Amino acid sequence: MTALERPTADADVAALVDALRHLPHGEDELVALLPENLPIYEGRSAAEMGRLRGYLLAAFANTGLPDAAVPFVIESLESGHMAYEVAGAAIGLRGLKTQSLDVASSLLRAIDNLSGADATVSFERYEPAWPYAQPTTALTEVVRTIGQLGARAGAARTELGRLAQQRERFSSPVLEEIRRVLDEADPRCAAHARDPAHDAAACGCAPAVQQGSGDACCADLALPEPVQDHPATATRLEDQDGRPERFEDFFCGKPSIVAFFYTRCDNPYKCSLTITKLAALEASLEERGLAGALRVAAITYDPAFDLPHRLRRYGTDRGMRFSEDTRFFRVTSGFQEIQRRFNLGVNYGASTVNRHQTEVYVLNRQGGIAASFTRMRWEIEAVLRAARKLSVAPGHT
Amino acid sequence: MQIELTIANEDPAGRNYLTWTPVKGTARLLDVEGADPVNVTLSNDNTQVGGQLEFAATRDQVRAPSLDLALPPDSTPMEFWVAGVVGKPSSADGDTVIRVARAGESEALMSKAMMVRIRKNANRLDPAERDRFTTALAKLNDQGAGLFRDFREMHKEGLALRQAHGRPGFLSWHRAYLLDLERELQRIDPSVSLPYWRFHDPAPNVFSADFMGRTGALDNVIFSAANLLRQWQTDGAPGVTRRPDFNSQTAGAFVSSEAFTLALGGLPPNATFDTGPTTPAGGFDEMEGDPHGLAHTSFSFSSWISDAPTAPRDPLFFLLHCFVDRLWALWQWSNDRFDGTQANTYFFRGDASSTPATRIGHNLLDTMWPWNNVTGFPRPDNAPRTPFPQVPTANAPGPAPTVGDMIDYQGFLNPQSYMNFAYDDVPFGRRPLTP
Amino acid sequence: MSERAAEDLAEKLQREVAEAQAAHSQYLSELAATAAASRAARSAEAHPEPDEEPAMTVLTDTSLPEETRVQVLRQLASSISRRDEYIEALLAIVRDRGDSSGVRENALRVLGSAAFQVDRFTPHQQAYEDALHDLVADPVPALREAAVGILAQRHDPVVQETLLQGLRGEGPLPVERERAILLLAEDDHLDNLPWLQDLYRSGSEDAREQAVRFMGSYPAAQTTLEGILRDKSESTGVRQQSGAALRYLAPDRFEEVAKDISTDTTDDPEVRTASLRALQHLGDTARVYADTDFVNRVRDVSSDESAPQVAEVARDLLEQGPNP
Repeated sequence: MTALERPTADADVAALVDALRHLPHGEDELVALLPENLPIYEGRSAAEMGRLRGYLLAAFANTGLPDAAVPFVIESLESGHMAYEVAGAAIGLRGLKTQSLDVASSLLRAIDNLSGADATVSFERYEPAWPYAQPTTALTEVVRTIGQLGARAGAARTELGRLAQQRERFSSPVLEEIRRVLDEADPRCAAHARDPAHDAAACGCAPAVQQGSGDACCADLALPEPVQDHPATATRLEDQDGRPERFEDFFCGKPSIVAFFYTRCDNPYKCSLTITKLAALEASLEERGLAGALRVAAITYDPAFDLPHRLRRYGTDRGMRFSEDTRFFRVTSGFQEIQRRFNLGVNYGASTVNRHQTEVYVLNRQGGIAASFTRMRWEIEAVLRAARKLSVAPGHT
Repeated sequence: MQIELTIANEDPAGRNYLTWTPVKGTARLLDVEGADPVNVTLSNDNTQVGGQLEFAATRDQVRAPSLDLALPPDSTPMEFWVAGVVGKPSSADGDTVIRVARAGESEALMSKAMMVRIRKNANRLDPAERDRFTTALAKLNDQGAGLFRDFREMHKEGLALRQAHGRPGFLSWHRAYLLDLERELQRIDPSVSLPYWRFHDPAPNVFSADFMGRTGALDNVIFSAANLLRQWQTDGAPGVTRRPDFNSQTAGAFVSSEAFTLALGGLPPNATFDTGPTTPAGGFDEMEGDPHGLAHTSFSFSSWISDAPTAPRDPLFFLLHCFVDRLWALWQWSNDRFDGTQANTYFFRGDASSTPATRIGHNLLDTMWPWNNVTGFPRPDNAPRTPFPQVPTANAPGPAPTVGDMIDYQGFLNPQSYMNFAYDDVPFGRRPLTP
Repeated sequence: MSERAAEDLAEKLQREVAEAQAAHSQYLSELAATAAASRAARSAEAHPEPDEEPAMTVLTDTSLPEETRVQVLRQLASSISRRDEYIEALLAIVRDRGDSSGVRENALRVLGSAAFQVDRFTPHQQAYEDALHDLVADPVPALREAAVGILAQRHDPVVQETLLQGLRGEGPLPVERERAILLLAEDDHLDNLPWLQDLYRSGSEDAREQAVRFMGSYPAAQTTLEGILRDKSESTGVRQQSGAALRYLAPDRFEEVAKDISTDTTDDPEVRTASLRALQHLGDTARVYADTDFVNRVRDVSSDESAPQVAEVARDLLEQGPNP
């Protein structure tokens, strides 16, 4: 589609979504619009990107949600901080076809993330004027989705009974939606939810919380691997202390773990969390017997702004201990090569990043990508498992 | 004759920073002249200039401007206690001097300089004190590259804000927050302490270009060229956005009076800090709404300080909260509320798993995020400041302070709780009982 | 001496607190009387609940004088700002365009103070933002400006879109144009640079200073900022602000420019002072002090009494040395 190849006004993208949602097999065309690094999204602001993402994901409720779109929905539920985007993801999840997918933890995480940050939104059209004719809220839509998915919502459904008692967390409309969903499922539990003195766990309306793990969802969905034959050689880096470095000098010789981020990221569930977890991963290397066996790095998406002192401050704020094997970088030349090599899930507005996915990679000793953890929440253990396999050199135990 | 004078809680450079809390000192002879004790007098070297001290032989004795000691010839140290005199703090490092002289003689055998370092009314700071504070604060900020960024992160996102607002742990958390910042400022300049903006009163010196800035026509805050706060930066851009809705030169913020605030929760001896799950509450902690919240919202709603997620971007935030903390300190003094095990001092005296309990982080025995380094829901995902900075000039709080740890800040009930800060007009201990 | 001070303070506080409590009790009595009169005056259909508190009765009776209702907010803000039923009442007042603007403005201020009690306010957060969205088009300018201000600081997409449409001429602007540009500039993920450049070219003095301030978020503005900083015909405030913005974007470049300006005896003393202060205290001060040529130039100006403020700052720089 030629429309995907050039920067496009957000209203035009939304019009395309509107056209596709009613077409047979429109879901496949909608999936093609999901990657944030498409040229159509160049120049859009972060606010527009969040709105477009929510609108696009919501359309899958009409077309059905194909497997290829599920990671994008999960990403928005788990890591979205804009109410509109999370609402759209929750709506789109209702088109889920796969029966066996565990989406409970993602739905519950969305509830945790948005407690205190819920907002009134509307999908009556792409840019409705205030006051909305069909207002809803992000949490209302998440709860509604839990209801509509029924048993497929798993532990999230049973958790609602406990959430209904937490009046200090939710607005009245959300509490009403929770009770409505419970009532449809089991009127007894809905009545209990209205009684502040009732112990929901004791009667079985809210059994013990079962926390899902980020690994459970989508583990069987194939994620596209970036194409990469050999390390980037034209790329030059500068680290958090202003020292120049060549890509292959740092990323070859030992396996490494590299994350992408930028210091101006305003989503606390993406870059800030990524670097915090990366710091925790680095801190655990010694006790795992991996100290000196791996390199840990992060590369900024925003090299013009993220000068060395900013990289250092961002890292140390989150517990990163810099060393010869643990460094943050900005690319001083050859960023486009990095973008291609990693197929980075990032795009840019007029001044800075407008949207990006969470992305962490394990590189082998030749600097090639051995494993990727993208879009959904990554777990330290899973990354270390992949890295550990590479850290044992042939002939060594 | 050589005499060694040491005072507890000195910093690595051997300097002492005192408040109104009596701290222990010792004096001993280093060279022996004979077999008899040497009688000496400890006193203030200059009673007209600088911070003033009072002395006593024991912690609980009434202190006086001088103290006689008999120093044994075998160099045994003799104990004494010393504290600053309320109303006579230092204005510069080292302007307080203890002189030791033979009893009855005027010539000093030795002297030791120190500072009575106290949190003061920002509107009354002298220019040198003011400039030392603004310079230290701007250096801590280092135009967005400094440690101040941690303090900004702690008071930004929803889950972080819920650790510190809307429940009874509000005052303890902010007391720790301010003290953490103050200790970082003192690493830059040990003579600095946090001043407070007395928001009931006009504060023309605070809202001046030489201090917290004056406001331009478009809510831009203007600093003088020599004021290093001109380089202030947080989040995305340099500068500060602020516009008072009151006339900062002639009026205070739109808040209730100090007397009204101190009356919240009742009068002595029954004044209550918080009343637990009962609503309406009726405890002193209602001051979170007024005067605290109203002080914040006495500015235009485009001002950073008027909304919780953006408030600490404005350096005035710390002066506002210093006064909030002073109000709590004054209430504690007025009502003898230093014992966290008492219901009137704090209602939720267990931890988050107790019955009854309130939100985690707000029960007396709960450790406080971020210093406890506990992350993951219901705590935020990261912990920008951990552990709580330990300094030789104070005994408390520990690296992961609890809500309750912040109550006896002067070490009144337990000297090991001494945190080395005090307010210029809040004395040590409890209010004297009137007949 | 401390004992005396403590006794004096105790006596003073005892008196003042007792007076404050007595005054408050008096107010509550008067409030109860006002509420009783309000109930009596209402028709049977409009009669409040029998156990409705006097504060609620008076606060919500729009027939009462504005000052009477505002007094409820001033006297009882500490308690009502944490009670759900009062939050809901305040939200209704704020949204009621038929109500007195004075009561609405004060109600909004108390709502803002309630919003600071974040954990307690969580169930009301969404309704609060809805009320603020309503106020964006309110006929009362103070309410409109307050709502736009706080929503813009929260990077609210609805108000951002309203401001952008207004600037493009596609809809009404709820605030003046200069203020609209600056409120959008609080979000550095928007494409603000063209608006800021426009504001710098055509705005008031304060607007131009604000424009260069927010340009500090955009690496593309670096050259512009350096040009403004060097421009001796530009006002001192704008130049100083451009210096801060340049330093934020490109500290190394700022260092070079600031060294030139601070030791240029023909340049503005205030710009020179601000530059010297930044060089002395921020960033890699060891590198600054290691530049012996620069330090020698600073020594020259430290005795130049034609620019006494610069000389004083220069002397301080020479005396203090680099950060440890």
